[in-house]
Amino acid sequence: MSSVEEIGFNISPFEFLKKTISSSPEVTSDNSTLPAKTENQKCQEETGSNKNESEKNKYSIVSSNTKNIGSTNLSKMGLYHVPDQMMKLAHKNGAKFTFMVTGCSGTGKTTFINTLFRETIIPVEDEAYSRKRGISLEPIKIYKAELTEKEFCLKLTIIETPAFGESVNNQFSWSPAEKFIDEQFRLYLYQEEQPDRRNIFDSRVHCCFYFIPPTGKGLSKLDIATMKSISQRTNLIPVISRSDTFTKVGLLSFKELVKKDLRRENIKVCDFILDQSVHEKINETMPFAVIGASSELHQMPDGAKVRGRRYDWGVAETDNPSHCDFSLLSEIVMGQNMLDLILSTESHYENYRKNCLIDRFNAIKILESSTNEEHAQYSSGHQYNGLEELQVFHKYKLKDLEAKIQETDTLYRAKEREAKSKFSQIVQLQERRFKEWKRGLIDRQEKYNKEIENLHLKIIHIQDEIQLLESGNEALESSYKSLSL
Amino acid sequence: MNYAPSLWNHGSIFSLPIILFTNRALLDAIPEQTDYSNPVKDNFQQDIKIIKRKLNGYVGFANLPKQWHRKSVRRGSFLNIMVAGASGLGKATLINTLFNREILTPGFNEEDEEDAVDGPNGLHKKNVVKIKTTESTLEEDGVKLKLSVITTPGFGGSVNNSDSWKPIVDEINQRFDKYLEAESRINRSTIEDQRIHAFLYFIEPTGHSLNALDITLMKQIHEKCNLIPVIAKSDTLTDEEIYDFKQRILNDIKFQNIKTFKPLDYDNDDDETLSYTKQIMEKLPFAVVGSTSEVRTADGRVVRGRSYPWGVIEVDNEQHCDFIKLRQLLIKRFLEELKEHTANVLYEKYRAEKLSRMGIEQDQSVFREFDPLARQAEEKALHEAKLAKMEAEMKSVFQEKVSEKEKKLQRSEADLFSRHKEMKDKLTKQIKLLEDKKIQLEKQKLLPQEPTPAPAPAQKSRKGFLR
Repeated sequence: MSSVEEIGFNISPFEFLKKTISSSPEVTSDNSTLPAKTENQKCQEETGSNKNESEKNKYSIVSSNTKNIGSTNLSKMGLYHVPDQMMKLAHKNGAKFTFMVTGCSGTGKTTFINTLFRETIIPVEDEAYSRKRGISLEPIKIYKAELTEKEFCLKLTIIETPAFGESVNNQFSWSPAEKFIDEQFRLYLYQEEQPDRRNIFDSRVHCCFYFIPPTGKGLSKLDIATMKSISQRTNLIPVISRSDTFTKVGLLSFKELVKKDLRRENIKVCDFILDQSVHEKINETMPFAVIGASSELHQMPDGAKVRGRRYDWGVAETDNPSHCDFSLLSEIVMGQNMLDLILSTESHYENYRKNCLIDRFNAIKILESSTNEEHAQYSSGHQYNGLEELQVFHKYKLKDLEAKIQETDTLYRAKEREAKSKFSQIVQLQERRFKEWKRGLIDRQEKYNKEIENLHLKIIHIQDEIQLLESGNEALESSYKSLSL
Repeated sequence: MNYAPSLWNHGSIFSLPIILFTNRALLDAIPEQTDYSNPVKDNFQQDIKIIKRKLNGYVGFANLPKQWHRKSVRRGSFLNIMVAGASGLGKATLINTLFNREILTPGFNEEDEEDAVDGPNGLHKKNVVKIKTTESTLEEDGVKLKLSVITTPGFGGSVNNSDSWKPIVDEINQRFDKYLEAESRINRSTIEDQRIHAFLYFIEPTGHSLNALDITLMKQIHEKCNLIPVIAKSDTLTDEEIYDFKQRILNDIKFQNIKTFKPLDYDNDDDETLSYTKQIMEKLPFAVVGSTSEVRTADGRVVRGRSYPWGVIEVDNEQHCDFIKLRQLLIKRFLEELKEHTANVLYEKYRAEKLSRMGIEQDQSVFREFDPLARQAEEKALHEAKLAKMEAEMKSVFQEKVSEKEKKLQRSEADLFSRHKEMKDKLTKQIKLLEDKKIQLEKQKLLPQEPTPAPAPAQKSRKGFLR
């Protein structure tokens, strides 16, 4: 049988992949490399075609005079290759991944990231320099990297919060982080509603690692407040840093403590991942205990070189699952479930978008009905279609909208409150002045009244005297009269 | 070597048109200014240093394409394909051959066409083109495909075909509109993609060149769909005739500036991929033969094909026709790319134009990633300005109230003074009068006198005039 697909140049994508892989020498060591997968796929392909043979009668049209099913392979349409196209497109397009790391300083955030990517992505000196020089720490610092692993290019954005937990009053420590996440959502939303969006870029945050200090005493109030805020905005991944300070038992009990606190405070971990099995997998092991690796590898007694931290009594290995959860975490974040993190952000974005637009829609309704006579147009009875909705949104200038949103900012609110209370002090002072003034007036009035009263009394007194005099005169007069008579 | 990403992180590159990205764009030469096929990649903040590394050890993110693969298997795929061409060109048969399943009943369109043409007004009825959608779900090797085939019975079937293309273009636009509407909604949880991802246009195997209707239709739709021209029933032409016919068609297409589907060449494509793509695209317009019946060849094989007294034409034989190549393009190789190109380029272009026509203005400022420090400063300034404004407002209201109250108090003070003075004066005057009178009376007492008139009635007593 001559299969046309096999002759000539027609090379299936697997073969192509296999060729590219086998030409690169360094990919033979790890178990998840492409050749293994390719074999696997080949197997699948074979079993798939067998299956198809048996199912063929179900849908292929066989004319009555020929019953031979020799051309099965030829009449296959090749749907099997469609997922490969997705894979190839994903490979060609590369990917963009944005995550945030937050937590108090000294919890090993920088080391964690550098260990995760086996590269110095955040220079350790950076922060130490600022700290030493007393330069005030930025609330948000962005690091970007383009990493290529096996020809696949990842555009990585890491958001760090150097100032987190650094003030005496940490009441607003988490506010820059939560604001940043929201802003990225809004930025995407604004871009998405523009007519020409060829320049659209995605800076939405896919997940956030929160570093719990290894205190052994459960979560602090700051931990709780921060994680609560973040878990409502992106996939929260709690990490116990420097977990090599715990004994095995100590770590277990600390993990339980943290879990209990999270449950009590109703903080959900990776809540936006819809795939139940992935969600469970993460929640089973979280909080992830990690050990950052120092820059050099450590020689083990059996000759293997491992990443980790060397103590006099042994090496705490980063990649050893019995030492810490690092390798598991790395698999979840990248090797296995990176796509779940990316797609869950997409679905969370839909929620954010909906709420944001509803607010905007209502704001415009109010605005229009107050200025416009034709507010019948905005009465609740009218059903909008998507385009009409879009037109309505565009009436609200983004600048005004942003300014409006800024007002709801917690930091601003606090400042506002402060200003108001300061002002109310002035008002009180002024009011006191007025009260005194008024009291002064009342006092004076009383004084005046008394004065008038005195005068009045005096009048009455004189009048009395006059009357007396007059009556005296009258008596005199009458005596005169009687005399003259 | 993947050097594409390195292009877009030097600040200087931003000013360049992004045409640099793909060879395709270069080949296309791009007559219009707006080329929607090459979105500008991220506008990185220029002051953020981008660390570039090639990793050697296993990190894991390179598995992402594999994760896509897994997801794609689980989700399945979908394709909306529109088929147009004069009646009797074997459109239904070809679709059935492509998907190896009876999707369209051959002849069912013809009934409709007859209906339309021979209706009450018969030949004089204009605009008899109908749009029919047939949906089916296919599965092969565990991968599902939701297929929607849109046919246009009646196209080219009238005497006057000058408006034949209209219903087709309307249908394409409507599908874009529907998607645009759904995508713009506040609540868009379920968007069904009904956009046409591929447009198979059947050219009659005349051996001449394209006719006026072919050209009109192609020109109307080529910027809205991935146009794939095919030469129908190519078994009626000899190899040389096909070669010449193809040349003439390609010349026409080129001359009329009609764009047909071309897959993107990525910079990181290897030679094998490129040559594979090239071999497919070389065959354009695909000369095809459709047949779902199986026939026995002279050497005893059973193939899908058509049996003639002089031999068998095999559908699945590349030496006989381009069917395999067409199927490779549509399904095996570029199904996802057809969809991606429709969504990212064709639809985006349609959308941008439509929204601009609706008067929605572009706000270019949102396409800039902001610098958190600048943003923070900006925010701080905004907050301060806002606070200052608030304070000023409060102050002015306060001042107003204070001065109002001050005035009121001053008024009452003045009032108090003046009334007090008035009263005092009045009373003092009265006292003086009375005292005078008293003195007089006292004098009178001494020397007898005429009686004085009765004294004025007593002053009314007024107390607390202010309160």
